[in-house]
Amino acid sequence: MDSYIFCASNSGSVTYAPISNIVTACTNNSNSVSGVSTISISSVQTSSGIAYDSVRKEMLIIDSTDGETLYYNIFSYNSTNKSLTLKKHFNVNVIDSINQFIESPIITHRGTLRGAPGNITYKNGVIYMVYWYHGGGDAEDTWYPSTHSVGYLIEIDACTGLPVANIGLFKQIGSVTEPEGLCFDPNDEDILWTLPQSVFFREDWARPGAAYINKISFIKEVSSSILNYLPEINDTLPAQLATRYAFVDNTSTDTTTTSSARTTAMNKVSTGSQACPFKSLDTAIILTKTGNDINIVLTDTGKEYDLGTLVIIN
Amino acid sequence: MSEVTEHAFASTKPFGCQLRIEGSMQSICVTDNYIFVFGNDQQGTYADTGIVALFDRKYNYLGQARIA
Repeated sequence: MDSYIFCASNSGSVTYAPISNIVTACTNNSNSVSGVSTISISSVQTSSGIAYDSVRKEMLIIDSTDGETLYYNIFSYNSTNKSLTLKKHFNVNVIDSINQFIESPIITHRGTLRGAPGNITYKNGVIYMVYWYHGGGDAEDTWYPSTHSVGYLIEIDACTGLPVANIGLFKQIGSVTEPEGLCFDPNDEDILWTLPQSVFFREDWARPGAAYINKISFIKEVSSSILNYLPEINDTLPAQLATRYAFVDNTSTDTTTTSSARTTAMNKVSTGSQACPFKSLDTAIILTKTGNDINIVLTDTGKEYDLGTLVIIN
Repeated sequence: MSEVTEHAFASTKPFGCQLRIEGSMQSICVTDNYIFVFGNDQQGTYADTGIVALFDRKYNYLGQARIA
């Protein structure tokens, strides 16, 4: 019997297709995947994630329109006719609970602190969800590193809908990191796959995505520290970013915190090697100038990660 | 309580250029043999047109397809 992949769409419906059909379409670089079907769900408005608990044979869809109140929809799943029957539907405002887990709240220049639930995975009555905080959310500042997303891996009690622990942190890496996907490895329940996307290449609010597939060990009943998300970055930063930095340095009249930080950073760069003032948690970016080249190094508690070299464009 | 204890740095693999997805990536599904990455297919909008990119478990890109 074929296996299926289910996706929750933004409209609240659930789309599914046989895995074999998706594989065939991808390997042929096709314009369509055959055998795609949709389940309309009237109770769900804006799906954030979908997950299946194979032990309980339940499908969970989380719905949220404001990032603060989560609507939990737990369905029984009939594998024969691919039907979903709503078993439980309730909503919980989780923002206060999640805020308790935030070690360094991100205060944007707008004074807002807004989160958004991402994908989920669900196992044995426990929900694991990526939940990311972002900054102003407007077009002009979304490319800027220090105002944007930091993601948390949240454990939620499926019975109450309340977050009970923050078990992971996806740090900024000098650009935007928006954790989206989340799933357990089918061969190893201690492995959790994630899909943070970095947007070094962003030019507007849309995200011409550069994604990282992450595989992290997920071990129960062992006390440890937070997860540091620091991917390997060996490529030279794209020219667009260099242009952006030069542009901000030369022309910005914005007096907001974010813009001020950028200008300060550039002023320090112009005087030599300095630590960049825009910090995220305990991560700092050090810029070292040699001639017209700026070398960018990301530091994290003593470790250094070379992010490449920028060339100032006047 | 569950804890995340280790991050497998060596497995991290940036491949945005290989994906060639102009929109945003949204979700991941891992099976025994494959990694599926789902996303929107259009820069500048939150388009309903979906796209899926396929990789093997060693991150080798195998292709992509649209989901109308």
